[in-house]
Amino acid sequence: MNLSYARMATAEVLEIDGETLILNPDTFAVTKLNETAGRIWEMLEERPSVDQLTERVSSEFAGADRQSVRQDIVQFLGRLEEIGLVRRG
Amino acid sequence: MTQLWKKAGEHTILFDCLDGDSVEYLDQMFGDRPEPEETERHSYYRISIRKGRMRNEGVDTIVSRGEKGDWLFDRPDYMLRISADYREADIQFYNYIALRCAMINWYSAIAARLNWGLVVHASCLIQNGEAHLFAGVSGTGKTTVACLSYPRKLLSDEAAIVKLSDDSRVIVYDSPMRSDLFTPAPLPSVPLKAIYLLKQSADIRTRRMTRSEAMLALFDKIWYWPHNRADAAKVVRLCKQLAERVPVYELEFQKNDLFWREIS
Repeated sequence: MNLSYARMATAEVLEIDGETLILNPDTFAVTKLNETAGRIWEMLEERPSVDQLTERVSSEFAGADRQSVRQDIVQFLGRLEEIGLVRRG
Repeated sequence: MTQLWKKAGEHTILFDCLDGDSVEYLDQMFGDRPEPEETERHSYYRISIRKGRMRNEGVDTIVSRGEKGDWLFDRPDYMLRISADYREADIQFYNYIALRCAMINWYSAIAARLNWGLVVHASCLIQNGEAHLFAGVSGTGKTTVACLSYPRKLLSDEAAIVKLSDDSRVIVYDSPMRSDLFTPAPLPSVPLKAIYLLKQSADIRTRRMTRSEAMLALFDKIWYWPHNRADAAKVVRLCKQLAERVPVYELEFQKNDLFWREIS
């Protein structure tokens, strides 16, 4: 399955000291992303598929094992989906 | 009906008290704080208030929207309705605690709406003309800090009114929404010097938090009942500004006043 994901349009994104914080205004919960996760959040603007994300993240973070990059991305997107910050399709 | 003019932060409120109990409870809340001047009465928020909401089981607040776009906050011990334009409100409350919570609920909505500031779950004390804010959820020691800090004057013991002003200053106002210590502050407002996030400990120690760490920790201490996406976004931006403008420390403290030596 090569799903694609869309960001929650109303999420409020803040940068503070190089870290990304995202507010889900429906649940009033703030999520802090590390640098890599923040980069993936940026990439999600174009609604990429998991394969495309894997490709881009692997190319940006040299030396990363493709299979584990993909697993991490799927896990991260699953977590974002649980808290309502992304949805599939 | 009795009408009372009161102030919270920079905002004038006209209360329409529909019964004698509500006059009594508002007197308890606002004490002998000065009424707004005539010049401050041109623009005001109007709150119709009465005692009588019965206590039910549970503590959850149910938020809904009425036919006219007004907001309803329904909690077992109070009911708050805020009109769609935020200028008018109705409160029914069960007891003082319920009234205080309803007022915090109302004022946090107004402060966010105006992008004016935040209501922070904190006690706040004046030391050398500057405000020191001690934040923490219930049970972490806000009241303890307030009591141990006597004779320093108190701006809040539960719900601190914090203005994020356009000129980058952060000002704390005397809060009438008190829990245990009702004496009004000698000054209506004081600039904020620092924020401490309380942690009870066998030691006395401060640690400066990074701004992102501070922002997340503070966000958890903000009083706000989310009901409107745009205002929720304002609250999170105001919280970020607060973490950027004022140093935030984690404060490990014992139950005595020695922590003032550590932070002064």
